[in-house]
Amino acid sequence: MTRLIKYEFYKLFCKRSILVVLILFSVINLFKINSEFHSYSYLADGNESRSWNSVYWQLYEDYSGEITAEKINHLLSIYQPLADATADMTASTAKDNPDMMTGNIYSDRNILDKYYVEPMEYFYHYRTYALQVAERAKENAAVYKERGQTYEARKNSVIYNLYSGRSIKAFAYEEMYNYYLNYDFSGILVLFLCLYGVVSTFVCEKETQMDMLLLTNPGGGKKTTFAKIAAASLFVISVAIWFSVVDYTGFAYFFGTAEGGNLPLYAVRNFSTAAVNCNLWQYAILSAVIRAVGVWTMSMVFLLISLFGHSALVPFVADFGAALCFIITGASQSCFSNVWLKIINPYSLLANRILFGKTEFIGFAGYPVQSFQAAIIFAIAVGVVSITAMMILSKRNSYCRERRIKCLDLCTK
Amino acid sequence: MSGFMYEVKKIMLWQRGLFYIALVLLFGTVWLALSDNPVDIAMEQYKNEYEWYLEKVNGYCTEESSLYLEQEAERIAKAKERQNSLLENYYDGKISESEYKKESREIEKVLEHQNGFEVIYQQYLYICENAGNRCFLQTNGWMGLLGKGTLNFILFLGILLIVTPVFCSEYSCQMDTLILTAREGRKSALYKLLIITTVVLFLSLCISLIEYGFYRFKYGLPDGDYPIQSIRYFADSSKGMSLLEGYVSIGLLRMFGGVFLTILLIFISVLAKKYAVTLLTGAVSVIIPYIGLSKTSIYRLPLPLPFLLGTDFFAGDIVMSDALTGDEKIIFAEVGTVTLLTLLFVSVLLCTLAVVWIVRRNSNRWLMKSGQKKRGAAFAVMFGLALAVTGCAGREKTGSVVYNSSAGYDCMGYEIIQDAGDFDYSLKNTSTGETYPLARSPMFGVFSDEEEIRAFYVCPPYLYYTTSVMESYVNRVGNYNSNITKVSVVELNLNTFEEKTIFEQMTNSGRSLLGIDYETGDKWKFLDFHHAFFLNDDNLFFIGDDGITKVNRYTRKTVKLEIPTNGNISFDGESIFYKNEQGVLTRYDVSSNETYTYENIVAYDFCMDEQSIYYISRTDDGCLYSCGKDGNNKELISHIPAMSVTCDTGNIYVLSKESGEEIALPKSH
Repeated sequence: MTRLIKYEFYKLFCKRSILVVLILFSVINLFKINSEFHSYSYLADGNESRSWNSVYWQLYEDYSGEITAEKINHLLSIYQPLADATADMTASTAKDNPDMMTGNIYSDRNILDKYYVEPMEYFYHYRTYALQVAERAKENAAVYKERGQTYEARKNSVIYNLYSGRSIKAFAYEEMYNYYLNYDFSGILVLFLCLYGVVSTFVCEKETQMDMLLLTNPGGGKKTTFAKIAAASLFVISVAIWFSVVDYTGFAYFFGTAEGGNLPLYAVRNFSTAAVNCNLWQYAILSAVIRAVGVWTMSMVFLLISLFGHSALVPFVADFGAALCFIITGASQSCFSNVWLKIINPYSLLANRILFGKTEFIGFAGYPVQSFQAAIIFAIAVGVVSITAMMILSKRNSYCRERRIKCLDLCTK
Repeated sequence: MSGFMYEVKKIMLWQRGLFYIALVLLFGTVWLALSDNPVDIAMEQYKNEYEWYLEKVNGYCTEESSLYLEQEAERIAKAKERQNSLLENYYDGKISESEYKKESREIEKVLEHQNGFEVIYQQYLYICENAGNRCFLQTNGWMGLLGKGTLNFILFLGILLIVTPVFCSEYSCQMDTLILTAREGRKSALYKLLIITTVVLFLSLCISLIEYGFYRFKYGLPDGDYPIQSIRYFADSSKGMSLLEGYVSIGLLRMFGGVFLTILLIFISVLAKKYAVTLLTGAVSVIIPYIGLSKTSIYRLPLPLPFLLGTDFFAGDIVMSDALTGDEKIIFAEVGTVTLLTLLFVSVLLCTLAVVWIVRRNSNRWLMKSGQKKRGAAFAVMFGLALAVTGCAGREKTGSVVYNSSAGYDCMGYEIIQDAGDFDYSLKNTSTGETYPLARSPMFGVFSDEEEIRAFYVCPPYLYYTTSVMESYVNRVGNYNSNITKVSVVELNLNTFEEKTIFEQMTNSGRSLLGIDYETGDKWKFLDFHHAFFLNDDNLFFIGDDGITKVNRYTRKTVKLEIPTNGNISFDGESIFYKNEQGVLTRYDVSSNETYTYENIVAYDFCMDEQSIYYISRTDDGCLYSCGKDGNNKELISHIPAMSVTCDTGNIYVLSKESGEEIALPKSH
């Protein structure tokens, strides 16, 4: 079977066109990441001594690491006079002030405010916020227990356990991770590539009528179908992982650093109510795995649809339409609180911040299940159902001589 | 039958061209009808009143029209002021009824079209920014027709379906080599190109005409000769063209975009000879730049996409100021005429070269490839996803309760209190004194100041409240905004403290979805400004400063109700009770949309419970009366002159005019 899978993998996916598309998409992806850096980051202003980029990294030495009262006081001693001087907007707008780090008093205030004061304030206060959530959850759990609401009581206990003890002890650069975690473009590229790869899995043999010939082979029929599914799964998972690696290295390269990986996930403001307690680098790995699951599920659905096609045309357009529906509904519903819509849409696994960015639950037999757990279970279930359907719908190798003899033997016995 | 006709038959029948054309036109029309919303809701709602003014100022803004509008604004302001004082004088007995009625009639005449005036005055302010190239006209039709710079996905998928098999089907069964041996075989590629180009041109033309017909029928498309800058989408455009010229130009560009995509698909199919590669290239060449590139870049690429979009070739610069640094940033740079012509020339050249290559490739070379058998007919699997995207949970029958916007809430033994420090709302158990956070999610409002509770409505055992939440991850102005503001209605069961969201809506438009601008328009803007709300089984009613907006819970259709909201608003589950502009108590039936005025009840203030309406009579020195819901059985409750009245289950509370103190009166009084 391993050999059959290997053959199918080579036949279907080790093609020049796929390699070309893979390379092309990877390059497009890197260009896009570069444009994200230049569009979003104020630190993309070069390496001159008075650029924000240079000033930021000069100051970084002083403030990175463990957050201490001394660091906070020092930062405020620089920032507060600037804030006071610019409060009424009457300060000089000169851009070559030698006393200023960036040459301009407003610019100095802005860089300190955006890149140091605001994040450090958030990091410093996060412990208090989390404690507040934990306390509320504890109170809620007691209230619901009193009222016989077992599910709500359990849910609040989970929230309590999740939030108690949360704190951000160190200060580090988290901007790169913010944009990395909110980057969706590569997910679309992965979907396109997987769609292209898997859509020909069954139809390429139908187009050449090889499918009939395969039914005469001992390894044909369901065995070949299974090998094709396994090869396709291997392919799509590899592609998803590859693009996750390209994303991470691309962001680290263009932003010039991977600093901040040891910060907890909730250090990124957008993830303040994150569903898991892990570091940013751990989440990068988790995200890659979850994305691979999402891509696999969608690919299995694509594969199932392509089973009915005789050429790539209709399956491709149908799969493409389905993918667009998933993407558009997934992206437009991502901010709403209807957890079920997020769970049943595999796009949520591709852009998995939809699931991990918020602590959301659904009830299952009176027990709270976090949205990401439910989405993973649902996606795997859909994938398995698709595979089962493909196995049932695919033909047996009934023309195979050995099989027919075996069948006759069984009948005579 | 000639070779040309055989090709027509093959493409239209065997390759289901006709079926796909019909499908695209059908889906295109249905989608257009379902997804359309007027850009300026007020212009549509007060159409007659707006048209009354439009007739007077239609066209360029002249000195006379400007003077007329300014004078009209002054006249309306004065009339409103006069109306208030007239009413006061009449109820205070300073003027007689006949005098009041006479003057009222004159004032009403002035205010007859005031809603329409507000719309035209907004338009006037826009025109004043550049009066040279902006005109007064009905803009909703033109905005719908021209102001949508989004890709028509249905047409795009249709082109993919129709064009791809034209050559790929021949390659998949090696018919291409056989065709070249036929008498007219060598002309086959040319025929195919001609037919498929005509089909795509026809399809694009039909879609453009359907759009034109739809907007002409729904809103009207008057004054097509006015400058394109008359509609806001093209505000800063430097192109000197009329609206109709704009429509024709955009339509022609879109038709060219369709042809460009067709030739690209055929080029790839002849080059690669594979369905999958052709489809992938076609899809990628459109979708990847669409979601991956900024609009400025898209409109400078010799690809089918900018032509398929078309609209922004004629839009002006969009410049925004960065919130942090104050620097101005160009979000979209206008495409100059020279750039457009160059792009068009390069694209036409590319198309021509591709066509020449395709024809040469299919007439001068004998292609031999390893055997592929005949292509079977495709089994159509159209995957229709009917995901419920409403975000509404299932609902039970809402009970009956009387709502008074000015009264407190009877929350089954709870009191809603607001913390003076952090402004968080809590529920206080009036018997035990225990307090519980109102929002049951422990995370709500903790990490962000942008999460807040806005209004309440109680219908035992449920307490409903609205929340407003703003999220973003990029706070830098640019091509990709990430701001989302959403308003939700949450249902809290006061017995079990279970809560669920029954309504959610995004209200702002500062967001892009995978790089594509996601416009919510001003349809839901009223949600940002609501300060109270109530609901029944079918509708939600949001009270804002300028009226009440009814939202259907099933269809999400919104209707603005002409109800003044400066006094108390009561709702008994079927009708809304309010004081009209003259202070007369009025009832509006929400299901039949009928209005009934209680002519004999002129009130300073009123409130109601399940049985009675309590009101402070304006015509009777501020005495407190009660009457039935039908206005009969009038009874004097208190002769103490009062300013306002509220009630709860047991008592009526009046604010004494003289002492300024609140006096509680038992209902059994």
